[in-house]
Amino acid sequence: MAVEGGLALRAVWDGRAVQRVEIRSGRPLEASRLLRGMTPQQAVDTVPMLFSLCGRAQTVAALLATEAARGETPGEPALHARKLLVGAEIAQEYLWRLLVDWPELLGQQAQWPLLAEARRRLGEVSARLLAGGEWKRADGSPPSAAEPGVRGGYLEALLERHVLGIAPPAWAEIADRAGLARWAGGADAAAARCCARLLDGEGDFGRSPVGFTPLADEEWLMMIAVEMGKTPGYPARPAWRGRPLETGALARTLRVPLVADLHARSGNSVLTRFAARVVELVSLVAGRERSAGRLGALAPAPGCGLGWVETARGLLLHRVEIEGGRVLRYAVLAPTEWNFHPDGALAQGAREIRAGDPGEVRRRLSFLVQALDPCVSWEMEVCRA
Amino acid sequence: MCLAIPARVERLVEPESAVVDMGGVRKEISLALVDGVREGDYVIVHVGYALSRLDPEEAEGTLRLFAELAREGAA
Repeated sequence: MAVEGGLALRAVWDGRAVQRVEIRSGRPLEASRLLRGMTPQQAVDTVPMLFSLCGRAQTVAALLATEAARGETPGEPALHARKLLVGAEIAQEYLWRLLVDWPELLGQQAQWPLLAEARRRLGEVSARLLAGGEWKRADGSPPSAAEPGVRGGYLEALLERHVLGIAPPAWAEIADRAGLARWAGGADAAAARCCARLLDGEGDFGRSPVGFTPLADEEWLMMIAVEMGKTPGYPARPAWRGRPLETGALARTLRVPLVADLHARSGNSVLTRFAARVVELVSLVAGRERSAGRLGALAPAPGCGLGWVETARGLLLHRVEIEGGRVLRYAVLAPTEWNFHPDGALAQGAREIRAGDPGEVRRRLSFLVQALDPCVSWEMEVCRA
Repeated sequence: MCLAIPARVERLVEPESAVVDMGGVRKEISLALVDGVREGDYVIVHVGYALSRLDPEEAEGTLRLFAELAREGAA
């Protein structure tokens, strides 16, 4: 049953540089077909059974879309609980990247036990929020009992001791590349060690002129919702004015001083994307005004709803049409479809890879894939031009 | 996007890995992120790691959905 999907990357290399990367996607876009004919409630209950990695974000997007289609507006307590659920999921994902994936790619020690403990604790927070039920109800009291979950002492201590090597509020003061280099050179913790290597030339590639998805721009979202409804296959190959866009932590943090400085100096490089993710993790844990985990809904037409969630990997959209109390059409546009578009940020950024042997092509391409973080498994082959 | 296909744990290999059956395909996966997995349990797997454990009823419901999807895809 090959329905789980994945990405096949084929790098064409001329002996010195990557000429192009061909991306074949076996992603199961049509899983949302299963939702047709269900009641909105059945659809919302089925979504988490289908999608594993960002199951909370998927469920919340489904809920937002179906509510909007029925003309319902969730209250603040429900929205607050949903943001906490999505925030806990994003923190789990970012910790996985920073404690395990990046260290492994850079030949450093992966911190599996720390990640397992963090996932267990964040999982408990989510379980409490889910059991409370506020997230589903349009009314209800704020989920104050679970509030400290995403913030709270445990995560701050984890970041300070093992991820950043300094207190999160002190890290949040870093405003430019020089400050980042001082931190990375001086702190002894997972993200600092990885960042030092990326600053040392390892992360200085992967740039492209690909634009970014805007953050919480309702007018733009409305236009995307229209495209999703009228253009068959649009969710598999999304574009804006004919071009793909990049989505994710970098797209959301371009105005944060540190990210703005890195972006001005080295574009949307692997390093800039890495730093953007650390910025968002620190904001999540500090409970600051944040970009990751923002969410909302629109009703492009009567009986039609769009739910949007800024997930760990970028913008996730669910669009539903309801007729006679049943789902008539359902479409999901996942962030991976933007970033791994055949001419998107990965494909264009890979053309900056200079490498003298196939092993180096693989290593560099792995960095870029990791920086853009697909939500499905992937494999690559390198072939000579 | 990521589909949550349940895999049945056939046997434990070491304390932290297991052989699972994913729709007829056997695969070795890591159990580093999930505690207390036993033979016969269902787990959700992503890129070679078990992410969570499912109760058997939930797993069977999900497997039925994917079987439906696979049939539709083949049709």
